[in-house]
Amino acid sequence: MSSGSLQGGSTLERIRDGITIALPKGRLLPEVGGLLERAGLPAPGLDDGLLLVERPGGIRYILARPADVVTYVREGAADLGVTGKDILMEHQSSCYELLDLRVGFCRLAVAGVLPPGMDWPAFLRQKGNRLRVATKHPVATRSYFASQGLEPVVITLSGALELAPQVGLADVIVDLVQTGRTLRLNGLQELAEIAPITARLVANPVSLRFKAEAIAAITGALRAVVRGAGEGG
Amino acid sequence: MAWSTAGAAALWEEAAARRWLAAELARVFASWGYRELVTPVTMPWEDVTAGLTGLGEQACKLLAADGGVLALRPDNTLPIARMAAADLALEPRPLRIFYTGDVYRRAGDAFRRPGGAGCVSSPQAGVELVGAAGPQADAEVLALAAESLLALGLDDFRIAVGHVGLLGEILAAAGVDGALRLAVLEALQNRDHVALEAALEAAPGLDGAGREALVRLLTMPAPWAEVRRITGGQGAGQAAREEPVPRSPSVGRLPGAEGGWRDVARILSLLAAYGLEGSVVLEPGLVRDLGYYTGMVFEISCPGLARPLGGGGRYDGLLAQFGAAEPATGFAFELTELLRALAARDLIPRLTVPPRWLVAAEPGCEAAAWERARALRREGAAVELEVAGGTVEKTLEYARRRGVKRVLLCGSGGEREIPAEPGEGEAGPGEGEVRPGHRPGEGEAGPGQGEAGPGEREAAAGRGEREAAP
Repeated sequence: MSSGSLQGGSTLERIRDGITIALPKGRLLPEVGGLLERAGLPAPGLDDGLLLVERPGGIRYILARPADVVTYVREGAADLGVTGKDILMEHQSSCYELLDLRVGFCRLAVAGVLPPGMDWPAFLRQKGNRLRVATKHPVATRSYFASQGLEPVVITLSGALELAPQVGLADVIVDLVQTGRTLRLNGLQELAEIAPITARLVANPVSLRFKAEAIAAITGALRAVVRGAGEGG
Repeated sequence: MAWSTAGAAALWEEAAARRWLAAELARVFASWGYRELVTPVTMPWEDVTAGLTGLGEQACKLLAADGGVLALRPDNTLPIARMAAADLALEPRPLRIFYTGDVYRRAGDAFRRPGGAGCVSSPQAGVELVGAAGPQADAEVLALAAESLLALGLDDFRIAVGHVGLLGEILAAAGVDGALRLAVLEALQNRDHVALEAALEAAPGLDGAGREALVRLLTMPAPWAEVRRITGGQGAGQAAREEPVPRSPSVGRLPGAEGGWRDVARILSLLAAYGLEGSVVLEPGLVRDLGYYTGMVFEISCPGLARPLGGGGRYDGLLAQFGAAEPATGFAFELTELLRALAARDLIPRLTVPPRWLVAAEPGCEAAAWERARALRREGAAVELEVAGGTVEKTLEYARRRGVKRVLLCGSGGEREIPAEPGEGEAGPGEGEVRPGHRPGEGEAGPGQGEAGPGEREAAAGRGEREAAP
């Protein structure tokens, strides 16, 4: 039950049985934390050492790697979670995607170095299904190239994708791009955009059924903040 | 106490729990008149893709010896439907069928492992009610699912009810059709509320308030009180036509839009009559994964679990694919999830109990040991026969690890009971007592000690074998 002195009474008052939210560690956390605070929820805190954070009003935060947020929610360890749309695209999940939080803007894109005098469509035509693509997002990559009528060789790496073209492991990479600085530093150019990416709020389906009111309150409060901060409407 | 590693103990218990659960469910299903059918694990590939179920992508394919393509059954309803249409065509309707069987689907991350096409099996138990259309049949399967859980001791479940026709009517009334409707249905199936709202932005007939009302209707479960308000109680009359349809200047009253609402209202009021209204919520936006549903659909969940316990719905078009058009409705429990729910609430009885007796024989006394074990089993005890050979110490150690309390040694001088636990006191009447014919100090068989000679022993053994033969 909610106690007396809480931040943003109305959102928290509707949480009776406790809500666990999995949040992504790393670059997304400060922006997401700000959103939560403006929505009347307690700040998660940025203690890197703490992975499980209890807050007043029955809120628990789990700080996890973005890729693991979906797993926590899917398995019911967390009722709600925040992670990038790119992660959701990789997992065939039974989770409900509730809200676009409109933070963490970036895009999933194809990047690489083209041979001199050739443009990307020509390069694709030349390589066809012999194209080698290194990525952390094999599902989205296969799906994108399938929509182009291609079945390239997809090499799944867990990091440092920019190296792959340099050492001849792959022709191009599919990776998240924000400012493009990392690409430029590694001599790569952005060749095609696959999808714009933002942070999303997801929910476990069973939690959604049993904690519907609390989740609706949190979602509604976040939606108001997101809409208010954006173009409005 | 039996001693096992945690992993091993879990294996024994899991198997026992599955058998117990299947038996309990079979008991409940049978008490409603359902009869069991068994279907083969493999099925023709064409049957999997019949009726556009969407299972083709998830099914595990096999190559038959003659080059034909088979599938491991990804679903129990498909083979049951085929049997109902074919072998059971002449049986009186409605047919009430239940089943217990594993279904096989491709592992979720098949994409990620090159060449990885691993199959995952899930145990299911469920029912099909074939040949009865209408809300009473739907209410029966819903109520049977609920009653099965109540019989197991689960009472905090929730049933979310949707309806394919109702959803269609809601969208039509909101002016959502064509490509937009497909986008909305896909978003609902993917549980993507973001895509849903984005799709509805393009809906021509909806203003802001109408869009919000529609989204709320499609994404929020409505508890019973709300449902009664929406459906106007028993039947769907004026209230149904007016309440849930988002009002907007360009959206008029939709003629004949009551079919889905009327069906749902009737089903829900029947469930209320059965006393189940506290467990039911209406979820008009519920879209189940299988493509063969044509009417009511539902999912059952328990708090604290990650996934639903099971679900089902009406699938009136499926049997036509197998040559005999008939209405049908049913549901299936995912036994893994159900066992999880029961275990979490401590509702699984203790099933793996060690045998009460271990009977060992000295050389030459196998017949006596055998007879003793049989007699004890006839009295209802579980008895193990010592077969490994070896010393009394080894036998006792086995008994301790196995959790057997009472060890009987049949020797030439009769039988005596050896306490399984060293230094254990009186464990009960008869424990440690000397049986008639036994002389103290002559427990162990030893050469020439009160025993028959080799020749006699063999003869005795021969007699024992003849006696032992049933």
